[in-house]
Order: sequence, then C-alpha cells, then structure tokens
Amino acid sequence: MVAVKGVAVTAVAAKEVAAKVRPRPPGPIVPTSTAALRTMTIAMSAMCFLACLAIAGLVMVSAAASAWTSRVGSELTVQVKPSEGVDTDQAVEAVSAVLEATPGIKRHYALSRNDSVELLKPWLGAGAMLEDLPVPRLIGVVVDGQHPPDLDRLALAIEAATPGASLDSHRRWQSEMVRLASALRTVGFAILAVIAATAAALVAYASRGALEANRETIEVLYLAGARDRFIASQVERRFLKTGLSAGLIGLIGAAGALALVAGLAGERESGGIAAAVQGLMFSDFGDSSRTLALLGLVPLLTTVLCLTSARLAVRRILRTMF
Amino acid sequence: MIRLDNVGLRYGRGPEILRDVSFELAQGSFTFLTGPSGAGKSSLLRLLFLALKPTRGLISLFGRDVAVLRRREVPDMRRRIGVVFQDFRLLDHLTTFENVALPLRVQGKRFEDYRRDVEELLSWVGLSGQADAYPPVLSGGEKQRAAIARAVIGKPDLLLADEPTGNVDPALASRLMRLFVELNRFGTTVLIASHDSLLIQDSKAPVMTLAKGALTWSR
Repeated sequence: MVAVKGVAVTAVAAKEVAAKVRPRPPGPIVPTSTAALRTMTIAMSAMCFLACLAIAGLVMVSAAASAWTSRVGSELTVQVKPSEGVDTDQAVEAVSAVLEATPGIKRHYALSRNDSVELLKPWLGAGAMLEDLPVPRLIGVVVDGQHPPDLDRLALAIEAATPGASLDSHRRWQSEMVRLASALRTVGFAILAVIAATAAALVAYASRGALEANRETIEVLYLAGARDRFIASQVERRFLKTGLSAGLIGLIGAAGALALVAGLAGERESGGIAAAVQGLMFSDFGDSSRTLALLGLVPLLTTVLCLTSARLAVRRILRTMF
Repeated sequence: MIRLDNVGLRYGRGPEILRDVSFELAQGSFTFLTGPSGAGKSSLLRLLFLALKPTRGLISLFGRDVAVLRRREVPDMRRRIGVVFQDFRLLDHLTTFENVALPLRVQGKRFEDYRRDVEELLSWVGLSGQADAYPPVLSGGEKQRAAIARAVIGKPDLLLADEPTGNVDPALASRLMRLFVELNRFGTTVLIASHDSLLIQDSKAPVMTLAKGALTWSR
C-alpha cells in the first residue's frame, strides 16, 4: 500500500515538474466563463425552450386542423324529414337511389328509425312519446376525396327526389374549424415573434454587458497588435459555445417536456393530447422530419443570433479605440 | 523614427495637457522622459503607441503620418511597438507565460514556435518559477517584470516604457535596465518615462523633461 502510495506521489511530482518545464498550450484568450455569459446561457436556454414549445404547438394545431377538416369534409349527411302523406322509408330509398347514381360517392348508409330514436334519446329521454314522434331519418355519405361530387347539384337532386330531404355538407362546421385553426396559428406565430424579439433584445443586451466586462482583454489585445478580425474571432468562439449550448439545452428541455405531457396524458386516444404529441415526432416520415428540422433550427438560429450580436458589440468597442 | 511637430493634446474640453510638443528620436536612440506627476508623460506615451490621437500637430512614426493611417494599418504598426504600461495591464485569466506570449499569439505564431523564446525571456526576468501563475498571485515587482517581458518578446523596433522600474528593488531595476540597453544595442529605439532620478543619472542617455505640458531637452 505504502509502495503504491509512493509511486503515486512520485508520478504526481514528475507531472508537476513536467508542467513547470513545459507550460501547457495556451487556453482561450477571452475568459471562458463570466457571470454575464452564464446569465445569458440560462436566459437563452429558457427562450429556446419556449420557442421549441411554441413551434411544437403550431405543428400540432396545424396537423389537428388539417385532420379535422379533411375528416369533416369527406363526410356528408342527408336528412329526410317525415312529411304528411309520404312514406319515410320510401323517401330514404329514393334518396339512396340518387346517391347511388351520383359519381364521386364512395358509400352511403341509412340509419334505421330505431337508430335515429336512439340518437335522440339522450336529449329527449326514453319516454314512449318518442315512438309517436315524426323522427327524421339520417343517411351518412362518404365522398371520394380525390373526385368529390358537385355538392350544389347533389343537394338539388336530393330535394327533387323527395320533399323534406336536405343535404348537410358540414361546410359551416368546416369553416368554423378552419377559422379556429387559423386563429390558433396566428397566436402561435405571435408567441414565436415575441419570443424571437425578446431573445434578440436579451442577447444584444447580454452580449454588450459580457463584452464590456471583457473590455480590458479586448483593449490589451488591440494594443498588442491584434487585428480586428482576430479579436472578433476570439470573442465569437466564446459566443458560439454559448449560443449552441443554450439552443441545445432549450431543445432537449422542450423534448423532455413534450415527452412528459405525452406520458401524463395517458391512453393514446385519437384526437387526444398524447396522440398529438406522439404524432409530432412519430407521424409519417415526411411530417416528423419536417418537425424535427423546424426544431433543429432553434439552436441554429440562436447561435447565429449570438454570433451576430457579439460581432456587432465587438465592433462597437473597437470603434472607440484609436 | 519618431517625429512630433507642435503636438497639442486635451481631453474633451479640459485644459491642454501637452502644448506645442516637438521632438525627434532617431532610430536606435535611447532616451529618458521625465517630469513631475501629471506633466503629461503617460499621455505622450499613449500618443506614441497609438492609443490616442493628438488634438493638433503632426506625429510621424516609422516615417508615416499617423493622422492618415488607415485603421487596418494600425495593427502592423503596433506590432513594431512594445509597451510597458505603468499599471502593467496583464490579463488576470491568463498565466504569466500566456501573458508574455500574447503579442506573438495575436500575430498567429504557433505555441511550438514561440515556447522556447518565452521560456528564455521568463528565465531572464527571473519568472521561470511563475510561468503557470496567474497575475493576481504575483507581487508588484513580478507583475512589472511580466509586463516588461511581454513588451519585449516581439523584439520591437520601438520600446515605450512607463515607469518600468517603479516597483522593483535597485538590483533588479539595474538588471531590467540592462535588458533595455541590450535591446537598444540590437537596434530597438527605447523611450523610458521615469521618475527615478538615480536611474536617469546612472545612464548617459539624453533626457526629455515635460513640465506644464511643454518639453525641454537636457544632456
């Protein structure tokens, strides 16, 4: 044990001697860690985290909106109201015949009277009165998304086939959803714009502070004959590290938060939060790679922002010398 | 090498620190600059190492009028000038070795190429054992020697030193003076601003005296 300790001590002593004889290669000229840069890394990480979440939210809203509108748009409903002297079953058959003859319709299915009564029960109660009421009949229609029928002509043909029949194309719902989705998208972009503007102001302020703290270093370099380009590159190297690490910390944090949300949201139900978050990363290859590319832009843009800001701040300081 | 014609300097709207200062230093000359505190010695040196522009008059360095010097030409001219600052201006986050090597590093020289020169110079100024120490742990005299080593490492054509022996004992002061004399012998023009009358008396070099912003020659 003693011998081992002795060897260790000798090795340390030899290292110390070597270090004295041969100074280690020089480290960075601009201090690697200053309070201003540390604060900037933390603040920028938070900004990147928020930006990643905002982008993820935007992608989810866009995906959900297009899924809703395509689903709603691909389905139509024909309502056949009972009227005096008209056999409702015959009226449904007449409408079915019109639908059969119309190109662009994949399939259609008529709900029976009992099915229609079942649909009304939650609102009207299960009383015997329902059996006596003139309950409208519904026909579900699935259209061919690639070659949809002319809905105006179809509506006229249905109305002509039987009185009291009408076509509901869900256009109102669709337009409401599109409007809601576009409002959410606008809000998302506004949040992103606010984050970007705040981040730019923060970086400009922090880099100016960080460089003012390093003014002595910059001055000494300048007086030692360093060219502006050399000084800028030394400073930018430091800011490159700051921007990149802040961007990556924000991105990883946001990915963790999204994973947490997906986990906490429980079962993956179609249209639920978990499905939306999981779909964000693991949907079709094209979609998820586009999302990842968008999120990957965040650290990249943060780095560019930090570098640009550092360059401007260095130039500002150098302009005051000679 | 250095020529000043009717140079005047004032800071902002304050009084004129230097008034109609004119002199010429030949290449390879060794000169002292002395005068009471506040006479403008440091300001004159700052004009000479291009940290200030004169309010009026002409300054010519290495045959170039500094007033028409382009900004991108300044670093090349500065590399020909070694400066010992009164307040040392060592960078606290760099070791003594790194501080001394700084002028060579900013010129793009590689560590392997300048390592031996820096080590030799550190040994000459008695700082071999402090190569890896940081300035905050150095004594005033050690800092001064490191600052001198940094000023001379690039073998400058012109050496400007502001009170270079102010913090060292007489023995070390005369050793440092020998370093300046040695540099001068190899062709470096030396201008030393000092209060140290003994040091100036020991030397046979010409002396410029600044008083109330005006310059007079002796010797």
